Amino acid sequence: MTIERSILIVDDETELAEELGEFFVSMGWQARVCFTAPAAYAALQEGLAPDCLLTDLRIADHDGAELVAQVRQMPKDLQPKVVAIITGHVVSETEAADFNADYLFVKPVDPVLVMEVVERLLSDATASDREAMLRG
Amino acid sequence: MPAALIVTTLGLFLATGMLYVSQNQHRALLSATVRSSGWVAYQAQLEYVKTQNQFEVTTLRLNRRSLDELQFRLELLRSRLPLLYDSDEGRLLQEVAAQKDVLQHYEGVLDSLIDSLPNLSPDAPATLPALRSAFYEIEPLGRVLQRVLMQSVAYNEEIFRREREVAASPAVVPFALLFVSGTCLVAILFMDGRRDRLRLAEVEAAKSEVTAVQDNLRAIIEAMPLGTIIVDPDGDQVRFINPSAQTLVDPSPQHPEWKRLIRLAFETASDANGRPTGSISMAFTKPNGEIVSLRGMVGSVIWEGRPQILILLSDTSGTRNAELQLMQAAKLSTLGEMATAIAHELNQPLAVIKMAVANARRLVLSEADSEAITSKLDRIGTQVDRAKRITDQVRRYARMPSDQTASFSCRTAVELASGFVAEQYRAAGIRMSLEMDISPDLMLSGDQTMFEQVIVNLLVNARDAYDNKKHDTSQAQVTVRARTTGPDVIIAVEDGAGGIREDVLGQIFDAFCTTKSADKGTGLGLSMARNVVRDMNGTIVGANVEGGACFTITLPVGRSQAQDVA
Repeated sequence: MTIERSILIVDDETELAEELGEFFVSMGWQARVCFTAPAAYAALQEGLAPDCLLTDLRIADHDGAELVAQVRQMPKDLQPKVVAIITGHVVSETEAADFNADYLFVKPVDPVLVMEVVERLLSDATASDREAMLRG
Repeated sequence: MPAALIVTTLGLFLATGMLYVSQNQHRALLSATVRSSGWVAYQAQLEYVKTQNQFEVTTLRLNRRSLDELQFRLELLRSRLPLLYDSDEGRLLQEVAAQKDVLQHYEGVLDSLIDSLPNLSPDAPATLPALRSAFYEIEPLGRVLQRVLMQSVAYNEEIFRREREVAASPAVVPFALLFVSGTCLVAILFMDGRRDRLRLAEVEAAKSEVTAVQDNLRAIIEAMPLGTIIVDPDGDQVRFINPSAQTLVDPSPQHPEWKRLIRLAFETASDANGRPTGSISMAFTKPNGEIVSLRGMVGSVIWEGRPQILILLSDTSGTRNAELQLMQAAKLSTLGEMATAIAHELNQPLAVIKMAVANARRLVLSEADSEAITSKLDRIGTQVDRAKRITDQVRRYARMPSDQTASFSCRTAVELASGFVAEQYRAAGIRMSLEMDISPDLMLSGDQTMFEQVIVNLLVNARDAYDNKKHDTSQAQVTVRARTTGPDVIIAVEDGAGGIREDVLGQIFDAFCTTKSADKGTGLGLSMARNVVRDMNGTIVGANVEGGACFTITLPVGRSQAQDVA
């Protein structure tokens, strides 16, 4: 029995965010969808603490990168274990590090792939956390 | 000089006339005198001789009858005497006048004799001696009368001599005067003639010079590569076309297609309100179907002595095509710069589709109700439409510009242009604000794509200006304003990116002037923009405003659609 995972999806492309959320929910995830960066940040500060934050890079007036930076400043227990970016911009996937994110998806992307990658990243993160705890 | 001659001639004529009149009067006086002079003296002398004779007769045959006869003779003689000194001659001649007293003495003698005669009886013996004494008493009168007659004859002879003189040299002076005045007249006529001939020659020379100039001008116009058409304002009748213009329609000015060309030229040479602008920039379809770009002007000219309309047209198809190609190159360059932004924009609907497809597949596999699946398919369809709008925009933008003029909505064109760069703006974090204070019915005349290109160019420049300055993008804003002022519409694109450097501000509309890096700009955008706006009979100016630059386009409003239909 797998533990229920959670994800916060942030994109001003409402239909995309909705479809992606619907997909994750159908796969047994807890999904929360926000259309603006401030809304997402507020939710995080309220202690949503999702396993994964998936944000668009350019969200209306606000910068997805800014949101990522803000999240990185939060207390460790409030931070999502995995932070990923999904963007329509023509950027290489190796640029993810530039934004201090764990992964960078380029639109259009298959949601199945998104979930697989996120799950892999989560298990990696959990493993590294466990290692850290053991070492500590 | 001729005036002096004329005055002289008139004077001479007057003098001649007066001389003639005075000579005539003189001649008349002379003949009158000749008629009267001498005659009275002769008559008196004759009467004296007759009286003497009667004395002789009476002394020989003394009777009543001869005495009466004598008395009659004496009375006649008595009546002749006063005539001598009272006549013209008597008054004229000193000698005759001097005899007046003598003659009056004899008048008294004769009077007493005449009075005494009736008292004499023929039979009385004293009668004869009385007669004899009377005879001797009047005898000296004979000598006086003889003298008077001699004087008169001498006088008459003098008069005759003068008359002969006058007759001999009757008109030397008048002739001389006439000759002089005639000469003067001839001189005047000659001088006048000479002057007229000179004037005529001058006029002829000027005339032939004008003709030569006209011929030259005509030859130049004929040879000009510029199409020249002269139109009669009454009924737009073509009066003249040079060979260059003939190639546009037909060598015959009667060809009906000329009217179409002329109407089109007049239309393009005036703005929407019919105000003449004079300049022509238009595309014209020749009768053979070939489309040519024409540039030129409409003006007025005096042709064949009448005010007519001059249309000059230059076939700029070659340069125009090059210009259009250049414009296309500039457009494609902009499009290339926008490629990543367009790809991003296109990726959005594609991403939604991808997600929706995944969800739809899951719904199908889980045998969900068809309503849920249909809603997914609808969403996919909507997103396909969205993607199509983007590709349509690209296609539209990449289309080769043409020279065809059409009416289009200013507002729609500005909105399309802004929509085209909206994604770039979003990507660059620049807010775009549209303040469209115009009705969608407000029409412009020109090539809509090219006009959109102008707006896109200004918006791309504004975006690049922010990029150049590494501006704080949170404040970045570009405002597009549109409003009408009188017969014009004004479209302004204003940014707050610091403005244009003063040293390049004067050259921004020159080709190849750019402040962008080589990979971002060709330096053709504003040059093209100026050409496009100029072709639409408008103006574009760039200026620095507070904190940024503002480009203002002023265009004449075209006819509304409603008018077009009408």
